[in-house]
Amino acid sequence: MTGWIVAVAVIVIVLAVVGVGFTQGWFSKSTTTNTPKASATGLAKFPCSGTVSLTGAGSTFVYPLMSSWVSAAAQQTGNCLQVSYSSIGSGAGITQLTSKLVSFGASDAPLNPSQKAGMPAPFFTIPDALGAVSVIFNVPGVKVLNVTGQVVAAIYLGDITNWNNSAIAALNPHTTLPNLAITVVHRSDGSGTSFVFTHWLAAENTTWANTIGAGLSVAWPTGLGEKGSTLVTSTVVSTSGAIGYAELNYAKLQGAAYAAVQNPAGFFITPNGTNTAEAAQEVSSSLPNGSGDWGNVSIINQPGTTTYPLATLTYIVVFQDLGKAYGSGMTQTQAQWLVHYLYWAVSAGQNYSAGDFYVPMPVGITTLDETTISEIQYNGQSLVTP
Amino acid sequence: MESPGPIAQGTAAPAPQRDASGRALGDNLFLGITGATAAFINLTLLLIIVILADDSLPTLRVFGLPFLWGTSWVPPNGITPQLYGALPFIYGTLVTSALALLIGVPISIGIAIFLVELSPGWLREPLGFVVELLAAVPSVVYGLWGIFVLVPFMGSTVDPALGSALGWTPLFSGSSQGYNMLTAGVILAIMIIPTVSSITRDALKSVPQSQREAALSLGATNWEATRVSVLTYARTGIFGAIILGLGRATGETMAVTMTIGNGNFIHTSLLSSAQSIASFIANNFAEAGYLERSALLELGLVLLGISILTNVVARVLFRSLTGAGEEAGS
Repeated sequence: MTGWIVAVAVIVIVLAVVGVGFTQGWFSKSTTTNTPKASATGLAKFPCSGTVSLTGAGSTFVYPLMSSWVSAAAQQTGNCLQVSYSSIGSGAGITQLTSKLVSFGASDAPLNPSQKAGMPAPFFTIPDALGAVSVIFNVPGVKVLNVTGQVVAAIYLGDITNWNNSAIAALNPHTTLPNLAITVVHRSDGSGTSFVFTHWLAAENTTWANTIGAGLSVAWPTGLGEKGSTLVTSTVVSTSGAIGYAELNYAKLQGAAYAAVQNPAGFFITPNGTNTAEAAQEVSSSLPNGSGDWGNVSIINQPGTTTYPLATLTYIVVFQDLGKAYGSGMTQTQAQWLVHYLYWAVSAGQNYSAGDFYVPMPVGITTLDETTISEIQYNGQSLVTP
Repeated sequence: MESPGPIAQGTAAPAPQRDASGRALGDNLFLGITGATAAFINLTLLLIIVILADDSLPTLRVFGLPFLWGTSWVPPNGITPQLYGALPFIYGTLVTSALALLIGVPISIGIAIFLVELSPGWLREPLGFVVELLAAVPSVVYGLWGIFVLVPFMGSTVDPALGSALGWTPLFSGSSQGYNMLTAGVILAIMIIPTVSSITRDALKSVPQSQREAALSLGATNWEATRVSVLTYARTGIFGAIILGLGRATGETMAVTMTIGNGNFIHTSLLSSAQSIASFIANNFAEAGYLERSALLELGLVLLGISILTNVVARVLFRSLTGAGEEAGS
């Protein structure tokens, strides 16, 4: 008895020491200045001394990608640039930015009028990642399923309750659909994914538009709620007859079947990187500039025969003049590195998208972002961009 | 106490300094520190109530008291005005907590009686240890176990069986995927068992041996002795244990979120999904806008009110059942 208690205690102490050691950098050679090499690329191009800390908060959707960026940034600068990102939800992230508690906010939806009114200083809206929302399903024996917004809305309204319904059968003439009750699964928490999904349902179905509407969370008329995309997906995977929605990466990671969705041109599109990027490409020429009004920007239901209709952008929100916004709360060095970091994220950082199942943004949008980021100032002074 | 000890008079040690009332300085310090800790917790509760009430004002102004019996929760959706009502969540909280007590309390008392009265000596320690170990399991682990084990089991076995046997009653009608009030109630029952059983065990232990012996000497069986002399004697302690269990059940968030199905509905069937206050707040706080955030905080205030109210009602009920002023066994 005493023997193993001692053993457990020893293990705990060793783990604690190792853990503290890692955070204190006992096991890595200490780097005070990261001297850039002539051949250096990305963030390694810029000299960085000591530690520069930046904080961000918001969207959970962008969190996996943001984590890759954060660790790549630390690696490229020899642990000099340390960005900490809290995935507390888009709304909470913007609230933190409004209170000037973080250097940038991340939101799955463009700021709404009341959020804009609350901002204490002028800000830029910068799209930073592109993704697709997939309609996932679990129908035994069915691998391929065609759906329309009209039918999905009827299912989520509780009007269609069985997979053998004639409206679904009409879209899938070559598939035998079983006599199986449909279990509707939706997010129980407010989320950017629900924001995109409900906007799409409202655009496709007038009953939905007039009774439920669209938002981060809505009054779902039926179904099971699950917290977070991971649980929505795993519930669909484990429940026979279920239908749900989640970012495409969650469907792929958990092996959920996802439907081909009809686009406005009338074609059924199974989401992938290419047809999601097309949706963003369609709008890139008509986007406002960084300081403009992004409130009505949406990339759902874009034209084009091969365009996936359920695509979404997610955004970083940052103050236009960091010195004026934060006062002594942000040094010029921090401001400069925030600009370096954002510029890198929307350009070279997009290559991390594929590994995380996001879709790199088309050139039209990254160019717009680079222009916006180069306009970020510190007390009226411009900051260096590549 | 302040009686002058023999040390102060008889030995070489310096007498402790005393204040005007003759109290030792160290004792004053002791009183101060313990008093401060007691004040601290009261102050915290007061601050929580003040902050919750203050932040609920916007919702109170817009919706007033009907918030309490409103059945719709409509955040900004671009078409209809925002509307917030608490009833589905109050209902879900009360039903799941009641289920938890209904299932958990008899089991807990059974465990406690076995441990104190009937268990062979060698089993007492390890069994008690295991029960208390359950209390150390984090609630998210209960939730995960709920999703991967309990929900599929309830959905495939228990719920259909209940449905076919008792489906004619409104309590068990309708189909189920396992995410429902009954599953949440079972999870909560398991979670309150360690608390309720270990406090009940302590209450039973504190019953003087003479009580049992008296009953047994009158020819009572084990069961009669336990029922008449032990349980009756320890009832205040057991009651306290149940109240603590109720507190844990009403406030539990994670495990409920993961099993209750998160539907903002009021259905009589225990096999339908619902939502509890704590779970709903945790789900929606991060993305809530200004008015919805205020409504969620008012829900928090409602939960606090429910906890206080159930506590008071239970106490009054208990007093009236057992006779006022009787405080045996505590």
